[in-house]
Amino acid sequence: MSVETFRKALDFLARSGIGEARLLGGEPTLHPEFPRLAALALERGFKVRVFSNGLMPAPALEWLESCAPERVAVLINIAHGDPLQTPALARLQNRVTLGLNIHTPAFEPAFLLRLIRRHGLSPSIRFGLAHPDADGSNSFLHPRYYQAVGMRLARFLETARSAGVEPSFDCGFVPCMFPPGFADALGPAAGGIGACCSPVLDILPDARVAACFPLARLAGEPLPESETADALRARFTARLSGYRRLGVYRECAACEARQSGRCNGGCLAASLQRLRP
Amino acid sequence: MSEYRAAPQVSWAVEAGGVLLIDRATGAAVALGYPQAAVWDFLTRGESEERICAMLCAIASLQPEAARTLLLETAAALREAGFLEPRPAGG
Repeated sequence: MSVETFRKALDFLARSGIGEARLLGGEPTLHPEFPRLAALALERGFKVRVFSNGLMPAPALEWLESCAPERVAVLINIAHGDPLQTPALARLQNRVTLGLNIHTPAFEPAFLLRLIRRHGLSPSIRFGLAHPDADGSNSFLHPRYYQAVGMRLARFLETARSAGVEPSFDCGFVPCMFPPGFADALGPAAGGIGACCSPVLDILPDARVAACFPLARLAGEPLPESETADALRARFTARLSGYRRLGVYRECAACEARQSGRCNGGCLAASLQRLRP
Repeated sequence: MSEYRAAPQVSWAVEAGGVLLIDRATGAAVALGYPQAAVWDFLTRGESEERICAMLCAIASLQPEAARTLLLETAAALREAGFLEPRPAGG
């Protein structure tokens, strides 16, 4: 993304009343201008949240380390505890929330608790599901495995929460993947389950804004000069409304949780994989 | 009925209790319950009117004339809505 596009993106956030600039990739810290861009966001009064894999060039790591934790937060997605991620974890400490993007039902999250303790990280874990891209050609977690993932995650969270580590959930988790009573036991932390998958508005390097990256071909348009995020969300929601009638399972059409609004049917990009042709 | 086919911009997914059709060009969607969903399924497979009626009689417990009426009305409605189009000769 060019500096000019980044400035326009910040303008869009500002007039939309959004106070946090979320920097994603790929790996955003690899951008040659990362410290300059992130500093620009801070100068304009935004908080900055960086979504990283933890493999950061030295300038980016040094810049992040120099920032106050209340202004800059870093989500580091950890797959299996790569030693190359240790410098970022050790130096950024409580600026870091760990993320685990689940792409297999055989995931093993216990190491996350060890990392949080060892490096003084934020006592929270953000869980995500690996969703398909537009044509489903990437490695993603098929909804047939959601229940297995939900059961394993529920068991892990009993241990995590007893250690003072709280979960948050990215988009696409659905209530039916978890054991009965799971959401009630989790309380407010379960708020994201079944409720995500509304246009998040990903601003792409080419200055297009999409409902989300996987749905860019269905719902994307140039970054507007004067409109706000609410206008875009409304337009994208309308454009996707026909598709949103799909859920990740064929049973979603008759599901009480869906009909009552407790669940929106899961990730739309995953739901679209059910379409033929 | 083998003269119909799904319009090229239409995708569909099997749902509990029917099928959901989506026009990718407009984003319009229509949900078909049974037995209309069965009509869609047979039409898009290029089945003959005679065969479709026989299947409807069997799966929906319809009399032949009611099955034919259901078939013709469903096909006409889907054609009107742009989800079906005439199948090219030889196609």
